Amino acid sequence: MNTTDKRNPVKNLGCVISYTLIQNFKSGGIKVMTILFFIIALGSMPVMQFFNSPDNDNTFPVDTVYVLDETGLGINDFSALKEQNKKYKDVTFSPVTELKDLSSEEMQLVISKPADTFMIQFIASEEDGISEDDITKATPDFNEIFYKERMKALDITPEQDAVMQAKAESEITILSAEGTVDEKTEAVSQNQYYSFLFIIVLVVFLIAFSAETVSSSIALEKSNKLVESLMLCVKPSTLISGKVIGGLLTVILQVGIIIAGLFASAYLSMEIYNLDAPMLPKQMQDFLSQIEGHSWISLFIVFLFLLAGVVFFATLAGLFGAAVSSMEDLASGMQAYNILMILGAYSGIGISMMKLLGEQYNWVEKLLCFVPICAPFIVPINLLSGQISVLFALLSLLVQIGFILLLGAFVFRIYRAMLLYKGERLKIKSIIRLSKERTENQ
Amino acid sequence: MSLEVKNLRKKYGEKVVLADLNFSMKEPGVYALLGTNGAGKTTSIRIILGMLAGNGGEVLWNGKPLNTDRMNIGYLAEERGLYPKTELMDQLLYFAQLKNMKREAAKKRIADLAKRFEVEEYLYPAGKKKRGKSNTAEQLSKGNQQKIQMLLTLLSDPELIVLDEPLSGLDPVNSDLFTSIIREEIDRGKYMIMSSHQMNVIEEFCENVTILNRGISVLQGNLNEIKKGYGRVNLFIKCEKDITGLLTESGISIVKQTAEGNFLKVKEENQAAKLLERLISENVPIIHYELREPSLHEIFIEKAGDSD
Repeated sequence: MNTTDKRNPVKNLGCVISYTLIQNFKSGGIKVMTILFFIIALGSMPVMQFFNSPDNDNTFPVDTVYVLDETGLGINDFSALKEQNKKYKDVTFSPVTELKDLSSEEMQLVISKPADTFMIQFIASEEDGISEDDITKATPDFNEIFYKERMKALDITPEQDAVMQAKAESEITILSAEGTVDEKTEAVSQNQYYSFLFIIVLVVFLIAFSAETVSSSIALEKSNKLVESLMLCVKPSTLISGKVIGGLLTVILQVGIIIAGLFASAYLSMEIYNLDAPMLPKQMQDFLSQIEGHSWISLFIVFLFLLAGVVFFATLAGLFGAAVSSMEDLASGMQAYNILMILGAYSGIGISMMKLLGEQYNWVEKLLCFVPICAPFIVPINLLSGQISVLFALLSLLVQIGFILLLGAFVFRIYRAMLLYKGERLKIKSIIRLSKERTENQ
Repeated sequence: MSLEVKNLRKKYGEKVVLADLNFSMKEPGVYALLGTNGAGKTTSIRIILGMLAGNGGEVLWNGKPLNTDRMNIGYLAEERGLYPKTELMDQLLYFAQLKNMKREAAKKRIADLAKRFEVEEYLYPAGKKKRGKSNTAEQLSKGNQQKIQMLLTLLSDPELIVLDEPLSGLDPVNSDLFTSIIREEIDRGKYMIMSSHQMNVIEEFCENVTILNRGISVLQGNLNEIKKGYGRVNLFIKCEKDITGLLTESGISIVKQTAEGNFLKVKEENQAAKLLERLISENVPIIHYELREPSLHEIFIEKAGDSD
């Protein structure tokens, strides 16, 4: 047969990708969503700073602070505050031995120790223009310096202090009749648990974005009867590859724009509040501190797994787009897709909860690391909680890539078989039979 | 240049949907593929263009297997559409890019064709022109969308043009516009394969035809010769009085009798001549007498009319 397709498989791929990408960003929905998320990201840190950190107000309407130490510890130097926060940089701290008459923009600090507690008394004149709110906001900063100076005065190092402050916990171990101890997994901390949930939400977010973009752009061409005109210029495999890659790039660019918005937000926050470094929300700080504790190779594998997860689900979305012949059918077809995604996400949430409760790492969990819909949610969690090795994660990643390739090949077959099909939605069995017939005819 | 289609076959399971289609075009012009719905016209076109794998046969262009990747082909599919929410200019430039056209050359060609198809106002709307924005497909009527689709077909100035039902759904004005554009392309020496249900269009353009019935070629050849082969057997007579009895006596079959006159079918031209002689001898006043070849429509009905 001489009329089989002999077109170059990579021809026009770039053209399809760029067109898909540009048209995605020109479409109202994606444009509005990206702009909206960018604005939210841009405003997030200054807004959070405003609501969550009233103590970081950048003004302190005091010129001179007189420090009167009545404790005998000799704590009368608070000039470290100048280094700690810019708002104190022009303040003069003067030790005094008796109460002073306060003039405009002056404040007095009286440190005493009635009974078992220390007392720091802030005195300001009502006429000075220093409000109670100004002093309330500054109180934690002064307390922090006072604590550090107290350590210094008593010659206690931060390490010694950490030892003293460390909580003592208790654990009860009951030996079995044979005298053995049951293996018990260490529970993860609340912060780690939230970090895992953050990863799961991030993956779901990326998957949901890419699925919608990829599946609808594939189904749209079939629904609008454009496919035949396109097939004369582009191979079907090039067309669907371009659609999937274009859809993925759209999501990556969207995420990139949102991340750029976050960076701009951090910069904006520093400028508005006159800070040396961005004050991240506590949850974000906790998440970053979790990340810092891992090797770069582990983090790289986690990143690859997130990417592989998004690619796998985008390809799966491509399958649903390829299997229908109209946009109306796509909506009902995507229900099955959403169920698979939710199953994957719930497996991740379930595993995270088990880790929070200190449940033992078991064979089911191990098995799920090789199930393509669950692995992107589970493997990063297991790797970050130290329950699987880097080697195990790599093996799981290879299996995931294998599944992506297999799924990709299957999607190509289905897409080719269903390209010229018009009619009611077929069951998966009929679609596979159709693709078999098409292959046999080649 | 020449196009040869040899023994093209296609079956789905055990069902044969195209059996040994053969035809050739040795010189520019239009080749017509005719048939009722489901006769195998679109399937034939898809196999010729490499979109559908056949079960045998070959398509040769200049004696070599037709390669759609290397050849400049324009195709107006029967099932056609446009991206509804995308600017028309973006779509046209995308297709031009897929056909390896340079951007500037494509823009010039689009401008020329837009003028010819009378769609400039949609591609370069006055208000949006400065911003370089054209209309979207969903803002156009069905007829104007069809003009853009035909423009897309001719965009790369293809050497082989395949038109599947090009005039379906068009109003008479646009139908005339398409007809004149098709005529221009023929005059420019293009090779064209056309399928249509409008027999008058086929008769206007095509010298050679194939009529398909259930995937089988039931009639093929030069249209004039086919008609000649049938002979002049269609007789139309209008008289001032009823001649039904006379017709029955002469053994002439009556196709239909209307207020306009009698549409008759004779076995041979001689039978019509004898009838005329008798009418004259019996002093029947004749208003209209016409003996002619069958139309393509009549041939089509005879050959493909039993498809159901």
